[in-house]
Amino acid sequence: MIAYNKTWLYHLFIRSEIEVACNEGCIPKEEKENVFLKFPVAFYTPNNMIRLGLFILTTIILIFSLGLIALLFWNVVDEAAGGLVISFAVIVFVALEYIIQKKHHYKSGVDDALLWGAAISLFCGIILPYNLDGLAISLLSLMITLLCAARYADRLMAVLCFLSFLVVIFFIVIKLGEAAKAVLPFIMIAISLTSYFLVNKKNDTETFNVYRECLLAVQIISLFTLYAAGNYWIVREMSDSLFNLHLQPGESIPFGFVFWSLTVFIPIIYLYFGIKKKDAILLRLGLILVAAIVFTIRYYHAILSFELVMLAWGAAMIVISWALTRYLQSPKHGFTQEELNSRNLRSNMHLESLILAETFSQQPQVAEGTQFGGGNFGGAGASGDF
Amino acid sequence: MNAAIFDKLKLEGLLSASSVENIQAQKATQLFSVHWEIRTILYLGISLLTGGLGILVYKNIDSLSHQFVLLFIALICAASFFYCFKKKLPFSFEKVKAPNAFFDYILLLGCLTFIIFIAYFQYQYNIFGNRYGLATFIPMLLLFFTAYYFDHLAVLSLAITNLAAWLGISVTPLQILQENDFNSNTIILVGIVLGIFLVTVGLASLQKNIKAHFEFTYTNFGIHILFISLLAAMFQFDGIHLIIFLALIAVAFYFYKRAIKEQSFYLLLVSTLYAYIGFTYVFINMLSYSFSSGVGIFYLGFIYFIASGIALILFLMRTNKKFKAS
Repeated sequence: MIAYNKTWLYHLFIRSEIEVACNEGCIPKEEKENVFLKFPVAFYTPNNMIRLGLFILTTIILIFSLGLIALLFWNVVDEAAGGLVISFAVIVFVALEYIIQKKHHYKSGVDDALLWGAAISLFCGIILPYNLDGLAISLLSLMITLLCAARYADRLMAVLCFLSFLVVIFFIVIKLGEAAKAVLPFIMIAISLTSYFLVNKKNDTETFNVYRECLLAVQIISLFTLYAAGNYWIVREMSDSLFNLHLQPGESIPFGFVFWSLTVFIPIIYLYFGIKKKDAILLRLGLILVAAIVFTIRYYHAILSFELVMLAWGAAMIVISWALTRYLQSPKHGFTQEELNSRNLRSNMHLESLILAETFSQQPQVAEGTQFGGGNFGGAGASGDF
Repeated sequence: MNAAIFDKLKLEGLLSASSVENIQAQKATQLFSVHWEIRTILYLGISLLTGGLGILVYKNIDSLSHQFVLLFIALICAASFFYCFKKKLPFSFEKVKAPNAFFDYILLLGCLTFIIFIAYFQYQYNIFGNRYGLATFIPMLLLFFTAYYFDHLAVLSLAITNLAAWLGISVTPLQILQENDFNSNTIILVGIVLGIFLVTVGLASLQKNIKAHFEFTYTNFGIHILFISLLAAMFQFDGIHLIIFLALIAVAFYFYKRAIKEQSFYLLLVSTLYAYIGFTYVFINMLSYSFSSGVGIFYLGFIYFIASGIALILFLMRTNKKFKAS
């Protein structure tokens, strides 16, 4: 099923495990080199910067190739646009197979661009000429992303595949009638929960599996959809439009308290299990979703003005991080605030400084209308921050 | 880490018994690091706090007295700098580590509040009058001093941005500035000079070993400012755009050589892409001169993009191989 050479993927997996062990000082260099000799990988995988460059250039080539095809068939382009784009997609898929099979590209930028170019043009080529409804479009997207994820083990494809599946279910359920619509959030929650535990069970890190990164991505997105399906704001706005409730501000949906408790407790449950099981995914998602709690509550109950909430939370977060740093000064319960594995420190630091400059750079605004024009000086404006 | 795999490798005789024991011991004592989580919370906290403060001041600007607001900002700024002066490790031209996790953020807070302070002062009391250059020059001096004295890369980035703003304001005659009409020709030239200057400073810090780790930040700003100004010059001065194009190619070639010498994929990619933009401009320009009408220009243009894209891909792949080999 998978297009890439499976043996090499396996070798790559072993190499990365050995690389980590070597970086942590468990394995001497000679042994690592021996293992690398025994497990050869002949993929063409350039450095990430080159990958980015190859991706941009391949995208340019694809766009202008499509333009050239449109020019060549200019007199029939109105009637045959869909067919042209579909044939283009087929050509790109063939090119992708060639690049992978014969040139052994793997995450080289070229194969990424070809895959997305082919998938997007196939999708557009089919939906553009016809007037399809939502169910048909989401079914089509489900099929294309499923095939692409299965054959090319692309993470984003896998995530889109799962989301398309949810959308398909959504369209089916609203066609079933009022009762089905009412339990829609719970159906979504059930699907997400099942998907999370299914992947959790199947996707153990101990054995090699070509799709392990795809499955991990699906796992993360299931946790997101699980929360989104129970979030009060999403459920209220959705049912407002699905049932034509015409809710007034201040009015609640039936069983509002159920969704309020889901909104508040799911992130806390994530955090709890994240800490208990030392699961980085649950922990980080829990932290992100705490913000979602605040936004949801703020949306309906404006107790404090917005800037006071910002002030209070900002102060609280500074205090929390300070307290945690003090508390974990020496490792406790297997947690540490120290940074482990410092091999990428140098590049990380540069990245961090650039991000900081990007978000914070603000020139003193001298007076109205006298700001310095010409945006060619790096970080422009802090307007998008808040 | 993966126990089954390591056992298998041991059976095949590729790993020694002690290595596998090491790995198991490491796995048993492995700590869970929440370093980046805590850092992120802290960063978001500071962003929210300063943002909230900003909005609060903005909304209440009529009821608060300006002296009070200024005093408040000055207090935060002074407290931050006081903390940093007290905690900092001794100065050195080498790299100096931050004494603790909060130091960098508090220093940043101090610098940002200082900039806000100056801006507020100028806006409200017009202390610098119409000498706008001075209003950017003073923060710039402080930022450069802070960046070097406390060894802070993000403040250095702020300082360089400020330097660009100061130059841009200073070279523009006051009258034009007030009429809101920017003399872009001068600004383009200043951009070229600034770009060359920054790249030179980067090289100098490396060679003289004065905060050698600042080199990347200088070079990064320099390379983008230089290339963008050169491209802008090509678009602006149409009559001599071929000469500027030659200069652009020369600069790109210089960075290509440096990329190979320093094994830097980033420099390689950036210089290649900017040179490509310049070349494309020249080519399309020539095309539109020679074909005044007709659909042929579109065919040629499209074929150019496809062919040049393939050529550049081959070029990048070959250079990448060269990097790996050496």
